Amino acid sequence: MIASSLTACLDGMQARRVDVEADIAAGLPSFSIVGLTDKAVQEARERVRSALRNSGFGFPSHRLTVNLAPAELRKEGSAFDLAIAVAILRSAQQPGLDRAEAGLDQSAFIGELGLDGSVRSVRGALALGSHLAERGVRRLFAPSANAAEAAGSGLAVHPVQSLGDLVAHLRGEQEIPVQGNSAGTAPAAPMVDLAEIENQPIPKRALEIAAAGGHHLLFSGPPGAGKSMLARAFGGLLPDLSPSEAKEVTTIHSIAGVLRSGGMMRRPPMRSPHHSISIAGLVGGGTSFMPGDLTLAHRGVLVLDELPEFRRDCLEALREPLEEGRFRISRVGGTRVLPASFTLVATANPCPCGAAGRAGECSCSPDALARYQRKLSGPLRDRLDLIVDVGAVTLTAVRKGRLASETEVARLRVLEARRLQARRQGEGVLNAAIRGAELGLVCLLAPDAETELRTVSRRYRLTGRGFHGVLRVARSIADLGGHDRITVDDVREACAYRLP
Amino acid sequence: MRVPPPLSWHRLQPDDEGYPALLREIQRPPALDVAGHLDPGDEVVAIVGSRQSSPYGEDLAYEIAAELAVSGIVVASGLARGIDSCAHRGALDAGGRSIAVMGTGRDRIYPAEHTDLARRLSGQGALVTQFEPDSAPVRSNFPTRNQTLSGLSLGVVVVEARRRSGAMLTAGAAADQGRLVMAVPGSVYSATSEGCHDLLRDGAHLVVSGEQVVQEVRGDPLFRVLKPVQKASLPQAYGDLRDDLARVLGSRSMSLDHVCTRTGASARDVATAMAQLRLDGAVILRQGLYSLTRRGSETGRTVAQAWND
Repeated sequence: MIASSLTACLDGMQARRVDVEADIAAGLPSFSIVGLTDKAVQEARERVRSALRNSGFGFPSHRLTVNLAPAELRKEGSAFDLAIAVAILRSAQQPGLDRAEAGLDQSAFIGELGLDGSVRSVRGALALGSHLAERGVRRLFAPSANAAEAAGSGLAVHPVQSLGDLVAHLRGEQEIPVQGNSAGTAPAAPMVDLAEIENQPIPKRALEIAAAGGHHLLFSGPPGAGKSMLARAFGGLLPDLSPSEAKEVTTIHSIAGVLRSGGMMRRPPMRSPHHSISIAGLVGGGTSFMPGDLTLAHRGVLVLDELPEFRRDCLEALREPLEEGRFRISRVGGTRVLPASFTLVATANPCPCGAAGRAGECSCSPDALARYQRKLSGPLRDRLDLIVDVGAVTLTAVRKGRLASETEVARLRVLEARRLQARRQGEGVLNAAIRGAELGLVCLLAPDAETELRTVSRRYRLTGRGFHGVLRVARSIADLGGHDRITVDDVREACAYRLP
Repeated sequence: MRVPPPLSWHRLQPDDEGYPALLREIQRPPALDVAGHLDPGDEVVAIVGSRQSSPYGEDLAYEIAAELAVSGIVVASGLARGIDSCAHRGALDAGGRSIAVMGTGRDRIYPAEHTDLARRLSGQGALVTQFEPDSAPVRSNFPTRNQTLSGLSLGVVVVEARRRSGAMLTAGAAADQGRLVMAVPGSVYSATSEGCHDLLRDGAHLVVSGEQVVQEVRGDPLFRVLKPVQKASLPQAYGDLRDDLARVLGSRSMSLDHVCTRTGASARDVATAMAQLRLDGAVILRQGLYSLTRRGSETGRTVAQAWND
C-alpha cells in the first residue's frame, strides 16, 4: 500500500517542504528511491535497510519504491533517512502506527540514520523547522543534537535518539517529551577585553564609534602594534542580537553546519578568514549555495587581517556587501541574493615590509609600494568610514591580577547610541546604512558644524561618498555623546578618523 | 565610473606674448605644450629633490612650498614621486599655484599615479612639457627638462638629493643660468642629504623655511617685479587644549595616541583638537604622525608670550 511522511530540504538559504511516498508492491524484492536525488540520498537505501533491521523491524521483501516530491527539486544530503524509514514502516502497515494517523499529517521528520538505528545530527534544522512551521506543521521529530536550535522555529520538537524510540513514541508506548522552549544559548567565542589593550586610546575610541554606528574600520600600522588584537576586541562591543536577528543568524550558521552547540546564537558572530581564502570560501560556493564567510558574518563582524594580502577578486567581492549589506551570486542552480550585513574590521601594514615611515628601514620598491597601496585605494578605501593609524606601543609594566572589564562599559554606551538610532531611523538601520537621500533629514547639524563640514570638504576635496562618510561618522559620535544635533566638535572628531 | 574630461592643451612659442619672460633668457628656449595657465610675470621658485625621500624631506618640501604659496610665489617642480609631488601638493593645499615641468609628452602623465595631481595642477597652475606628445619617460629627456625647470625659475631649492641625482643636475643648470641655488641641510648620516651638503659647501644659500627662501629670492637682483611682501595671517591662539598640544608637539612628530598619553587628555578631545589644528594649517599629518608647521609653532610662540606678559 502507499503511505507517506513529511520532511523538508534546504534550497540555498531557504527550505522547501518534501513529501516522502513509499509504495510496497508485488514483484521481485527491490528498493529504489526516485526524485532528483544525489549520491547521499541514494545511499539512504543501505542506511535505512540496516537501521530498520537492527531496530527490530523486518524489511519488506517486495518491490519497494520511495518517491521524494516535488520531483523537480534537487535533493541533497542525509536528512531524509528518518522520514523515509517512517514512510516505509507505515507502508508495511506496522502495527500501532495507524494510531498516530491523525497526527502524522502535521508531523515532520528529519535526521540521518546510523546502521544501528541511532539518529544523527543534520545541518539546517532551524531553517527546515521554520519553513515547515509556515506550512502548517505542528510537530517536528529531529535528532536530539539539533533539537535545541530547531525549537527556535516555534514547532513542538521531539528530540529523537533512535528509530526504536521514535516508533515507541508513535505507538504511544513511551513518550518522547517535547524540547523545552528555553533553548540553550550557544556560547559566544572568547574575546579580547578592551582593558587588555594599553596606551591606544584612539583605536579604542574608533572601535566604539564603529560599533555604535556599524561603520567599517581599517587599522593601519606596523607589524606588532596590536592591530589584530584590537580587531578581535571589536566583537565584545556589539550588543546582543534581537530575537529576530538571533533566529536569522542561527539559521545561517545551522545551514552551514557550523553552529557551535545547539541553541540560538545570542551574540553577534565573528568571522576572521585567513588571507589565503578563495573567492568561493568568502562568498559561498557549490550548487547548493553553502554560505561563505561574508554571509556567516551577517549581523556581526568580519575581521580581515592583512587586508592588502587578500586576493584581488576577494577584495572586489567585498564591494557589494559593504555597500548594500547583501550580495547576489549566480551558480548552476540559479541566482540567489545572500545576506551579508556585517561590520568590516580590517588591518593593514603601511607597506609590504611593514617599515614604511621609519627612515631608511623600508626596503620596498616604489612599484611594490604603489601596488600594495592601490589594493587598498579607490572604491574599497572610500567604503571604509574609519581609517585609524595604530602605532607600536611600548609596554610600561606587566599587569597584575584581573582587570575590570572596559568592554562591558563601552558596550552599554554603544547600546544607548543604538537606541537613539533605532528611535530616529527605525529598528535595525544603523548610521552606516543611512541612504544618501535621507542623510540630510537624519543628520541635523548645528550651524557652526555645517560651516566646518563645508570647509573640510573643500579643503580636503572630499568625494561625494567621502563627504557622506564624514557625516555618518559624525552622526555616530553625536549619538555616543547624546547630542541631538551634530556639534562642530563631532564633525572635527570624525575628520580625525576619516581623512587620509 | 565617471571619466573626467581630458586636459586641454595649448602651444606656446618662445616669441609668443604669454611665454614666461625668464625662460626666454636661456639658450635655445623650447616651445612648450601647456595645460592650465602660465603668467609671464609669475615669480617662480623650483623645489626639487629625491624620488626616494624621507619623511623629513617630504615634510619640509610640503611646508616650504605652502609658505611660498602663501607669499604669492609659484612653486615649480617635476611631477616626480617623493619631494616633487610634496612640493606641488604643499603649494596647492595652501591655495597657491604650482607648475609641473614634465619629462614626458603631454599624453603620458608619469608616474601614472600622479594623474590626479596633474589634473589639480592644470586647474590651479600649469602642466608644461617641451617633448613630443607621446614621448615616453626616457632617460635622455630629463637633463633637458631640468634646464627648462631651472630656466623658468628665479631660484632652485634642493630639499633632499643624493650626490648623483637629477636634482643636482637641476641645481647645476640653475647655477649655469645665473639663477639662485638654495639647499636645505639634513642629517650628516643621511645619504639623501649628501647632495645638499655638497651644494652648501660650494656656496649655495642655506634655507630652512619658506620665509628664508622668500628673503633670498626677493633680495636677489634678478627679482625685478617688486611687489609688497604679504605676511601670512596667523591663526589666533585658541586658549585651551589646542595651545597645549602645540607645546607638547614642539619640534617632534607624534601619533594621536602618543599625544593622549602625554597630555592625559581623552581620545575625543585630542582627536577633535588635532583635526581643528590641521584644518587651520597649524599641524600636518604624515604617515600617522602629527607635527607642527611653522604656522603652528608661531601660534605656540604667541601663546607663550601671552603667558609671559
